[in-house]
Amino acid sequence: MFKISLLAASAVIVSALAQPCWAQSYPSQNVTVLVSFPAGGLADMIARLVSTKIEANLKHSFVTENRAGAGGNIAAKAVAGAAPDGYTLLVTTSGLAANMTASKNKGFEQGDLRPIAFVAFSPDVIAVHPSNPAKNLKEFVANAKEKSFTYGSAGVGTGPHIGGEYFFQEVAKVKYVHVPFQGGTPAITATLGNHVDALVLTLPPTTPHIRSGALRGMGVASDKRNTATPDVPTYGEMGYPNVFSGSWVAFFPRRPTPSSRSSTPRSTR
Amino acid sequence: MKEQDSLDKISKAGFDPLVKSVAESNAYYKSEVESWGKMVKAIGFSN
Repeated sequence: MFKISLLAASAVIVSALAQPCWAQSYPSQNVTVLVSFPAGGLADMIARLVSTKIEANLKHSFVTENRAGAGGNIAAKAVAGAAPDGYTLLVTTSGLAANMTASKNKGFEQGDLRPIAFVAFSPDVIAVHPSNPAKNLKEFVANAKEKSFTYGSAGVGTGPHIGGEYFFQEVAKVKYVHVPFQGGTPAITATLGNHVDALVLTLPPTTPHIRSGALRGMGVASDKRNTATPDVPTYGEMGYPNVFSGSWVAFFPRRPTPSSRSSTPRSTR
Repeated sequence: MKEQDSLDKISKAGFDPLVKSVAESNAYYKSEVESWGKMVKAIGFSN
């Protein structure tokens, strides 16, 4: 299924970039793909898979470059400031959507970038150590009404941090202390060691631990259960409907400007 | 890493594939900016 999705995304990207608003013989040179996060992560992996699919159908290379930092804003700013010719693409996550409101001095605006393909999505998950007395999210929240708890995240401003704060503060209305870690791995390690009461992360890095029973998934913030963790219910199933947060991976070129639009018909390739 | 290895890793990790047209992508992105904006404002976060 994922292979079909990648092929579809590749076709959509090529089709979108070959529209008359871009150069009529696109691509006539290599394309730079800026990934907002470090090499080896899932966004990077997806960027490289899609780029490889596109290259297979075109004569020019899609060269992937990782430009991490500032919650993804560094790469986004670079693409927003690139020539609006479709030769520089951004691959980023839902952090971009959050930063549109959260980041005051990011150096670009929402209208500077145009999404052309969303490739993958994974929900956030709340997980706890298996010794936690709560067997599900309802019980966890009920216990938290009686006693404050700690939860770990991959850092301040990450999507799961924002989603976790929103859920605990605005929806569940419980008292807690947020413990930001420097990435998902140390947050998981702390939860495995029972040093924090709970964890809020995008599902993928927690999946092997939930499947092995080293962590207990309390709920996923999506409208349906995830196939990788089919035993973990959604927030909605636990009585908290319409609370969704998670991470997608998508491709964005700079939005074409009127002056970048081609005045001549696109040639037949 | 071989393509199939990457595909397996992504699927097993819990990423679901998305397939959207450009028009759907534009609409989805707008809704995501609104949704995340609502959460960011509700919790009073800025960076």
